Amino acid sequence: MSDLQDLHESYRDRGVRVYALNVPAFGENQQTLAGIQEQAGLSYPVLNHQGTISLIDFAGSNGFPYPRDAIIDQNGVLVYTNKNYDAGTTRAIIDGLLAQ
Amino acid sequence: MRWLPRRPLIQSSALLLLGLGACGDSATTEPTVPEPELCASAADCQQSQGTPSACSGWSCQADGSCLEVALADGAACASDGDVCTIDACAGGVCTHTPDTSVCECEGLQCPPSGDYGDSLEMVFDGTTPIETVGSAIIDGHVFTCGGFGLDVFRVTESDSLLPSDAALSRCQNLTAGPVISGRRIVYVAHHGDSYVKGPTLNRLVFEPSRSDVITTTLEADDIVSFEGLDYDEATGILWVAVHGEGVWRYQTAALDGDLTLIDKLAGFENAYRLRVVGELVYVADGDAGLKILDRDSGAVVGSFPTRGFASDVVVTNNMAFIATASIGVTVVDVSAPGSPALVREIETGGQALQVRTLKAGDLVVAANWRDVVVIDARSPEAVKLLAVDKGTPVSNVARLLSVATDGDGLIASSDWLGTSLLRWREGLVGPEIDVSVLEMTFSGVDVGDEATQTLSLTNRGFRTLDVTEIRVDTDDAIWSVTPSTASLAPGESVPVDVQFQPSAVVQGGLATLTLVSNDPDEPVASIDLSGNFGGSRLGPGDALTDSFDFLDTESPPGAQSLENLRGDVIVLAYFATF
Repeated sequence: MSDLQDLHESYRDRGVRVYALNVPAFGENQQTLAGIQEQAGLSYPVLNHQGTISLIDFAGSNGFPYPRDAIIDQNGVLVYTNKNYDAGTTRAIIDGLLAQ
Repeated sequence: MRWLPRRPLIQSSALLLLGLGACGDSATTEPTVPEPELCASAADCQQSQGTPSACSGWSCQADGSCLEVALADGAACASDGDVCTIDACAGGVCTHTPDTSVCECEGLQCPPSGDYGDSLEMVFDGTTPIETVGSAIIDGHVFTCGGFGLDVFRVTESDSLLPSDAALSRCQNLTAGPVISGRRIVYVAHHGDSYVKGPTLNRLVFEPSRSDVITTTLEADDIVSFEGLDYDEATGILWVAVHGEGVWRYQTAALDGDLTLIDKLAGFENAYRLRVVGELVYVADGDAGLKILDRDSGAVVGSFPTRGFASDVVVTNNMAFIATASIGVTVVDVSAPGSPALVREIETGGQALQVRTLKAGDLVVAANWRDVVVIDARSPEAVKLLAVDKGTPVSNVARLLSVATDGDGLIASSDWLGTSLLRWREGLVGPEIDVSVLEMTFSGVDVGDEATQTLSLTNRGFRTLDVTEIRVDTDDAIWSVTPSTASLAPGESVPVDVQFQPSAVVQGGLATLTLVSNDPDEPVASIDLSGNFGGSRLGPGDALTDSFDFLDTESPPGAQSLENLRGDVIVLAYFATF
């Protein structure tokens, strides 16, 4: 199971929403995306970025189109961004927010 | 004071004698009327006798007479008004010879020294291996890695790309391995991701004559992320940069190129890409900058902290050229590997992501987010920008992420939309448009207020740049720009002011600043404009606003808006189908 899917299943009943933000590739369509989701067994929502704001717009992205993750707290404040997915840190931050 | 007449003859040790009639001189040996006055200095002669002829000057002699003497060969003389010529005396005559050390001058006007021309020509205008993030030119073929897997294209004699079959779903980087039984081994890395995982090291068996590829997965790891890799032919070792882990070394088998892990080198911040050069290995180590390793022991023998994320490195002429995302290209003297020294930082105005060598290492090419950047790499003294040109046909959409070279003059530049071919052609000249920014962001501007930002528009070419249109492409009247046209001599810069004035009706939005010019290979340049839109780049501690509408994209509309999610913790993960 992928880290993100594991995270989604572990926390979905505890007030944590996991979203993947997809920047559609040229020529990619919803069917392509759905096929990948099914193949990978992903049950969390994958949202198609529609040309407005993406995670690349967070400070310090350096423009890298690689996995880039963010956590927003219960008040809508961005509390964490990371260039590469770090399961341990992500869980630690979520646990901290849930404990508040 | 009495003055003596002009008298030729008598030369000092510093000056050459000017012959009679030289440079149109009207010197004579006969005294003139009235009786001449004596001089005390050359200035007195200038005052009494007037300006001497070209390539000559006055000398006040011991007897108080003025002597017109020839200037030494090479001394500066009057300009002919052409900045492309050297105005220097030769044999007492002012000559104006072409200055070929600066540029090709015949019929052209040179830009000021230190600027660059336009020697890049796009010869193939994009094909469709989309979302390419890594590439290489191997055995006359362009290999691209990215969004929809590995693609292989044969480069034709007419500089176009013919697709071949390839069978690898996703990858990020690749490097040429050994040739075994006439077939090329190519090693390919996929760094995996947070949703599907599956980092792999793969071996391609490539038959250049048939453009044929057979793929084998050699190494799979669910934990690490394989990224950059380089094969050392001298030792048969494959070096692999592994995200968050360090640098791993694999021995390649002589018979089939199979991999056997040798060791895992630790002590890196975020090893990204690397290059083996002789007995040293150069590692672009993310925020830690450059690390230099001994090839045999793997020990770090030197390091250099760059001022931004180091994502790639090449080494040529005892210099390391480091792609430094927020700076451009950091050039470091590595002639003493234990104590690397900064040569200079070259700000490229973009996001330098990858670097390659060109022309046997005399040039370095960088993928610069939107442009291809070419740098003179012959020596520390010669290091400077030679060209900044678009490497993608659609500059305001695509993002240039990768460059590959054949070591001679061919560049494959890959972006989100495709791969193009460019050639470096010495002496190619023309007007060259250069804008100082890629985007302009206006934020926090109240309705009724006006904000102005200025960019610098420069002609870095060798002929006059005529910008026939400078406009903002938008239906909203909240944007304006001045001037609307411009004509720039080589090397000249002019400011362009962009005004943003939100109204009660339209309080913000996106637009494009468009510049149409006679730049032969970039007739339309564009700059992204953003006004009161999403609060610019957000960092930890910033509150998201409803304009940050990434959650509004699913049905029913608004069901997942930020407001509806208050009270929940939200985890956002970048997702891509590669």
